[in-house]
Amino acid sequence: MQLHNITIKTLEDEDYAIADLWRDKPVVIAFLRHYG
Amino acid sequence: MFCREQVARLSKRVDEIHARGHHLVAIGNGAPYMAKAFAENENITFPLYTDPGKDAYKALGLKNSKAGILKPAVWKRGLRATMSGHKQTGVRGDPFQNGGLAVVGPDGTLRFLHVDDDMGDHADLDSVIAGLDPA
Repeated sequence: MQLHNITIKTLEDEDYAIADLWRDKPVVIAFLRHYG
Repeated sequence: MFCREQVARLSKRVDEIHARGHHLVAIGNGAPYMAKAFAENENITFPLYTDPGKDAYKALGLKNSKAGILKPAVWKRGLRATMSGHKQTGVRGDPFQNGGLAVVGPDGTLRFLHVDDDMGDHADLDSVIAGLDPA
């Protein structure tokens, strides 16, 4: 799957298109191992 | 503990990243309620999202391995994180998933990618921030 086609989730369990993260300006994305 | 260390380091650099014209966000894996609790407990100062299916992790080739826990370098990083106050708590999400850091431009171009080689192998933020191009 291409990165720009992926849907992630907000903390409120709403779908969020990952491509919206960089729609207006570049973004630094930190990928966490897990929560703990 | 490594995830907590990672967000603590990033929280200190938010203003620098914004000053260079970039958003800063974090993405974890696991259910949204796990991410929400983590964000509240760690007082994260930038947006956090979650990727329950780890689709983005897979698309970027981020590593998932049980073997990393056996490496002495991981133990040393664990000691570093613990000594810095980032103690291990109950794991929520995939315990064998490694992290990474990506910079993506407004056209969707992947400008930079650091794939953590194993647990706690975070990107060097000094180098990352120095290389951010707002254009």
